[in-house]
Amino acid sequence: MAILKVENLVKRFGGLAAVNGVSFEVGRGEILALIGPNGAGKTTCFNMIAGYMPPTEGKVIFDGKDVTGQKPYTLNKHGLARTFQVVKPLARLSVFDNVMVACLSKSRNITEARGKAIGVLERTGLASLRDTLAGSLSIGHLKRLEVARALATRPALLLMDEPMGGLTPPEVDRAIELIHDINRDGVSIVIIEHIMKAVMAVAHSIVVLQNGEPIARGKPEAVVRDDRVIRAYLGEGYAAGR
Amino acid sequence: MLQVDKLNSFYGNVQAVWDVSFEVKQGEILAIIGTNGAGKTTIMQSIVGLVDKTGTVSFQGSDISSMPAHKMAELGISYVPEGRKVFPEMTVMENLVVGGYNKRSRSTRKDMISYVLDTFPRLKERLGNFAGNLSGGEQQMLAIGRGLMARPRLLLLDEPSLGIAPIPTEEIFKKIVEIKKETTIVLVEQHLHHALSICDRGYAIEHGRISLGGSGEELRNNPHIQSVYLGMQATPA
Repeated sequence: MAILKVENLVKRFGGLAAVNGVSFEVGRGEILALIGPNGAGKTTCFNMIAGYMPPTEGKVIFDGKDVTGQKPYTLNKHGLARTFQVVKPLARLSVFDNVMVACLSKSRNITEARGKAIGVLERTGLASLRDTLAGSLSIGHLKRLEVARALATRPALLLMDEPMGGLTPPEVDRAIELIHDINRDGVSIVIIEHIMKAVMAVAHSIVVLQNGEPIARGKPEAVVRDDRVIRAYLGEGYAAGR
Repeated sequence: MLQVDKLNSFYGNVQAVWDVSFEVKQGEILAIIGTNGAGKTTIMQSIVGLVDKTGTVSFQGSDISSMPAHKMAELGISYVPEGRKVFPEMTVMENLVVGGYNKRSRSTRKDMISYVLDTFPRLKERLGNFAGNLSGGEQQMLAIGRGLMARPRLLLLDEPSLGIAPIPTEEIFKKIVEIKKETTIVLVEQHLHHALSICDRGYAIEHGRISLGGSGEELRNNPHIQSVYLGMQATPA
């Protein structure tokens, strides 16, 4: 059984259909990448899956149950977590407290949450920044804090919205390792990312959106050779460089 | 055109930048590179007066060290901050108009709007939308466009390609080279291969200090830069 299934998702903002008939499935243990041009509707799909906004039409099936329109905190309790592209830290709390607060969701008390937070910080490479105020972190570290906070809620399915933005190439390599590591622990992942090197390194399959509609899907190697995808998203430069 | 001398920058009691001195020459692209948390953004913000600092910043011969941030656009310095910071409850068009509001750029507003929309056709489809309803990447395009509207003499670009899809990223880098004809540019950018291939000179920042400086090519060929910043699989662009 798939961990996530979305059926014919539609989201209209006034007259604009930001997402218009998107369906896909994420198998257990799978990493699916959602790619496409700016404004294609990728983040809006995440918003509907994670309960941040209800779909205009369509269904979200998580872990076999129809969860369409449920609230983020309910979904999170059942094992769905997400990160935000435009990061949302608790800016006036330390890195440690940010993660600890997230750990509280699956802990009986604050002592237990503190203990878990230390583990999450080590895993995500943030241990040396534990006492830094989240508001003064650089963008790359903020992206990592997003991942740490989502992980702290022990998800079965993790939605990552551009986790690699602002990272230097070696930092991207470490982020790729972290994603593999999270996935090895049995977490299924949907990732939105523009850094194609990272997409190719982690994705088992890819869905490409353009103007709210899927234009291609399949194995990464096949999708990046698709003419439509090259024209709409990757560009001739990418195609030539391969 | 810009001279930074013995810059030390602080967030409250925490010092983030130590004794940084450098100059930007008229008409060049200067890249500032470094890992996350090295102090690149802090240097940019120090130049435009958004961070507590000691040291001197002079622009075209005059000391602007104590000039407040809101005077910078009029003076000819545009800062495109990392993380968009567009005005969410104003339309795309209104955001652009605000960008070109200072006296120097008002007369050329129309031309600049068509230049920006030509650069980012995606924005043309969104002109009447609230900026807050744009996707992340579209907001980034708008932030760059707003910076250009001021017709700056010096343009500070902080991670311009953050969240931008591959095709418009290529466009941005092409435009940066084009803009260079009129504007001097300081660039902080994660796509280091790109940044180092279009810049004239660059500085590497480590732990808030300048560790290396040189031409784009020198930096690209430097073994330390290749291993620390570009990753082992570095290929020359």
